[in-house]
Amino acid sequence: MAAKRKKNTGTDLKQEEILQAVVIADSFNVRFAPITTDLPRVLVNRPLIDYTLEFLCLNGAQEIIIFCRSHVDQIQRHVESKWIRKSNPCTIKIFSSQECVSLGDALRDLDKKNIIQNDFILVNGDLISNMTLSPILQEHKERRRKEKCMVMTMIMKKTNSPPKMKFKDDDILLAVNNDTKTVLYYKKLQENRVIGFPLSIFKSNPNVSIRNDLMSTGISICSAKVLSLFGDNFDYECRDDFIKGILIDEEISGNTITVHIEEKEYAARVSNLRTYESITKEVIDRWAFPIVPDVSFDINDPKYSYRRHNIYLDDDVKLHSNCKLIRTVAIGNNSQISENAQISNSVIGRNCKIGKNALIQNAFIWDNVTIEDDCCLKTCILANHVTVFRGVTIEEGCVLSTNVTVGPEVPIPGGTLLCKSEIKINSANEFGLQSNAKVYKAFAEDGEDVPDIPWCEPEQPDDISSDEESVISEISAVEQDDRIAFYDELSGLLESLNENVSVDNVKLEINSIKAAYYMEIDDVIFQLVKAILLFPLRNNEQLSIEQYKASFKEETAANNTLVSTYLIKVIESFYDSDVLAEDTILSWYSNCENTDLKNRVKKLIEWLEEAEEESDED
Amino acid sequence: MNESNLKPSFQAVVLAGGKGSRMRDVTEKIPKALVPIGNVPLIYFPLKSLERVGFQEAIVVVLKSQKEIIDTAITNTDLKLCVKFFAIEDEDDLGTAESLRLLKDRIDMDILVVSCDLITDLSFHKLADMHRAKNSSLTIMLAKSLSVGEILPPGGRINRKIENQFIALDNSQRLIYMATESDLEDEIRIRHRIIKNYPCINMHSSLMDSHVYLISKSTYDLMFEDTNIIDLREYIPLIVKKQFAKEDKVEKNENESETDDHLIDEMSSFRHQSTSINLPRCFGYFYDGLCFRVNNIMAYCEANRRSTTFLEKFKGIPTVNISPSISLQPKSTVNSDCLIGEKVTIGAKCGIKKSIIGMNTEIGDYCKVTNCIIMNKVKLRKGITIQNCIICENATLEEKCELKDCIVGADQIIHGMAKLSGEAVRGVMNTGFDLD
Repeated sequence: MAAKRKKNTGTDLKQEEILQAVVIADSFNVRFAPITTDLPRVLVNRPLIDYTLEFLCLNGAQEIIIFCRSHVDQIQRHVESKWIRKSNPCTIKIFSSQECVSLGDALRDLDKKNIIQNDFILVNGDLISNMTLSPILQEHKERRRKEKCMVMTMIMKKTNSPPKMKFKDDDILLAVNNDTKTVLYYKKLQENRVIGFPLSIFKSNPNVSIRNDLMSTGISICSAKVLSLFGDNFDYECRDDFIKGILIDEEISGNTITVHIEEKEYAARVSNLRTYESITKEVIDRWAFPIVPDVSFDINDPKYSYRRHNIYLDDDVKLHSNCKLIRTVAIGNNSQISENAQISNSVIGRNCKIGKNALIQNAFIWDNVTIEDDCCLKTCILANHVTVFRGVTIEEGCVLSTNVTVGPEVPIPGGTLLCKSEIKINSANEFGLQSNAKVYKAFAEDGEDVPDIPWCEPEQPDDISSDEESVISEISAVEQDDRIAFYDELSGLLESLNENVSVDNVKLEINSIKAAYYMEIDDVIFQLVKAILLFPLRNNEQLSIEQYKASFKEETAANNTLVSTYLIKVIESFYDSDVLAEDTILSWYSNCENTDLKNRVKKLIEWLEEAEEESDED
Repeated sequence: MNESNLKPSFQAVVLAGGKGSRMRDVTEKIPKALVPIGNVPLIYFPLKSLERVGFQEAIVVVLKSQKEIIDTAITNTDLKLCVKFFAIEDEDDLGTAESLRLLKDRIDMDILVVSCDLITDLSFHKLADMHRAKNSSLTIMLAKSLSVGEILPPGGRINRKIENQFIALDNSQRLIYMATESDLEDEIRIRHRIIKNYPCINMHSSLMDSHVYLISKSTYDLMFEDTNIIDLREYIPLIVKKQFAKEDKVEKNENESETDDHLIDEMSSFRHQSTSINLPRCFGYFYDGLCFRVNNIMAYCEANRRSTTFLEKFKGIPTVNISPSISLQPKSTVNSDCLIGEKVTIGAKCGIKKSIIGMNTEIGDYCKVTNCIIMNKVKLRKGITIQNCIICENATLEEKCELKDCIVGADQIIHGMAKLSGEAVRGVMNTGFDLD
């Protein structure tokens, strides 16, 4: 781990070149609000900044400059206690400035301080990565020697996630010269239907990659010139402004940016709640090896023991013999889990207490949290000292800030952000009799837009549809909102069938709304099937399978031809998704009295019978 | 893969009805299909390529007026392939797509369309492998476009212009985008949806469409829907675009879907396949080896210059670059980088370098020929110096001419002592062409 001192091979310079790194330890946004108003972020029971510092130390940074704005004291205390010590070869300096509201301000501040002379690594304080930078640094330096105007190498990570998994603010469109890796075009992808690339970039570069599968890691290797460029251009606020500025001025100033595309190693930024969720799970599931909970970089770090199904337990964890840890779980020191609790895909901090029968999925629970009996938690973050009284259900996408108490016996609707209220709340608090919580309202800082990125998408109406959706996801291109609106209209139309509207008219209507929403035929079929499947549920939310079947048969299938033509599809999808067993379908078929329906599904039945015969033969 | 497997699944069509408008200076008197490359008619090369992958017959589309002469030329070569001519009327001035539509009755399977100006040593079965593996509707062979070097082509600067093509492929060789520079303004526009679905695409501006197309039968049938499309050059980008079209634009058979049979068919099969059949799928096969499209003077010169290296590959037998039947007077030197046809007579004290000389050409004493293409029956009188020129059939250069970077059209006579540079001498200037 010891950082090697590299001698500069340059001829004139005798001075040793120190590898400097700048960490911007503030996101300059309020995406993690309200928890970040009190605390720096924690990921798998470790302060987030530890991951970044670890990454830099491993990559041989000799001087790390941390630039922060909020929680300066806490960061300083933490870094001093943990990182500044004799055994650590690199020096760490902390700067802070309350006036800085953007990356640009921070870099301008550093420019004035004049402490950076050489190429340096610029990262955000929310980076988690196991990349090895030395070859990239080497490459950067070699190119700098040849092209003085190359000012920055940004490091991007290739993602394999399907398009809809991407977060809107990370949706980058990049055009790169495939041979030189020079960035030619950079844009945040918006809702434009058509994207125009200037012809000139293709004319002067014979092979250009247009990529939308990259994610910013926030790591860039910058020359000292970057600072002066920020210094000269007061309108550069964030990295994007800088990149755009460089590209626009390329012809005048000649400055260029190179991109390094990382395909193998892990690198990600905890930039919003969704990435917080996915990165936590990836760390626990060992994607970022050696950055995993059971490898600690410090004596004071928790010592997790690693068990099957990616379960990590710190010392002194008390598990009741009857509790269930399903998979991807990390539990911190001195926490206790009571009987019949069920935990999956979650992190539980130190000194936590989980009550009986608690059901915890996808929850990120920090230190000293108490969860009483019979609670149900789904996809949420609970910061330090939160108390959840008994019988509380927390729906997806909630964030509970420090010291918040909720309950007992209340449901917390999805997407609620709660912080502790300073004033005493009267007994009519909607979050329970013993609650001190109030809904957090984000306020915009100096013209910055309040980020409105809900953690969780609106719930999918049922599981079958999401299964089916994954089948067609690769061709689904129409926006989700359109689809939902389309679905609503569609189910409205189906309802009208009951009011004796003729099938032909409905068909016509469907065709016209198809055009209105720019739906692909795939989508139309899919939404139609979904609408039909959910038809009996529209008025009655809780139905047993039997009732469902019955109402489905009576109300729709037998009576109208449109539905009955799709019946074969319905049955097939039930069969494919293992809702109906083969035998069930066959026995229904033999008992069915409606010959018309029988004829329609005949093909499928024949196919099933054939398949059965075949498997019998085997 | 057995090469002869190609035969039953594809029909070969060679388009030789073009007029060679981009190389008018040499195609004035002979069809484009017959301009000599290394003293072999151009059309020999695509036909030979087809023969080598196992085609036993090929449909050759020719102009009616040129059918005879092309037929004779082909019979004089070593081709064993059965050539079926399809003659189109000269005056109809048909585009390539229109000619293909006329072949309707003769085509009953996927077709391999090759232009008569293609010289490549790619074995087409590789293209066919891709076509089948990717379940492609249209597979296009792509090659590096001719780089515009510093050397001036004969006939002046005008012949140097080569149009850029912009071709985008994704990692699976799917053809995403295709356009020629002249069709674009100052932007390349790509739909948001396409970028979402193909998040990593490579846009090439140094590749060209080599006009080798494997067109599936269904895509061929689609051609009859867009009857206003005259040329394949327009049709191919259109198909590429149609890949991403909204379903209803391609499918017009709304009526058909009313029959239950059709519905059930469509629904009980896997949905993916049923729709992707309707939308074409285009792929590009990039070949990095020998590939010329002899459709302009630059390419014509380059192909000729390199003909000494590839001629052997096509003929399949060792070729003699300098025919033994030539008569060479004393003190003349002919470098080994030349290709000299039969019955050429070369006078005394001549120097011939890097040149191609056609049959029955007579070269007088004291001539210096460097980097030239000289076709059949050309007469060079005494003391002529020519450099980087194309001298077409039957032309005569009178004594002591000095020509540099010129094209001399068929049957032209260049007067004695003329000094020309960067000119193209053609029919209209024939009479009264006088210098000084």
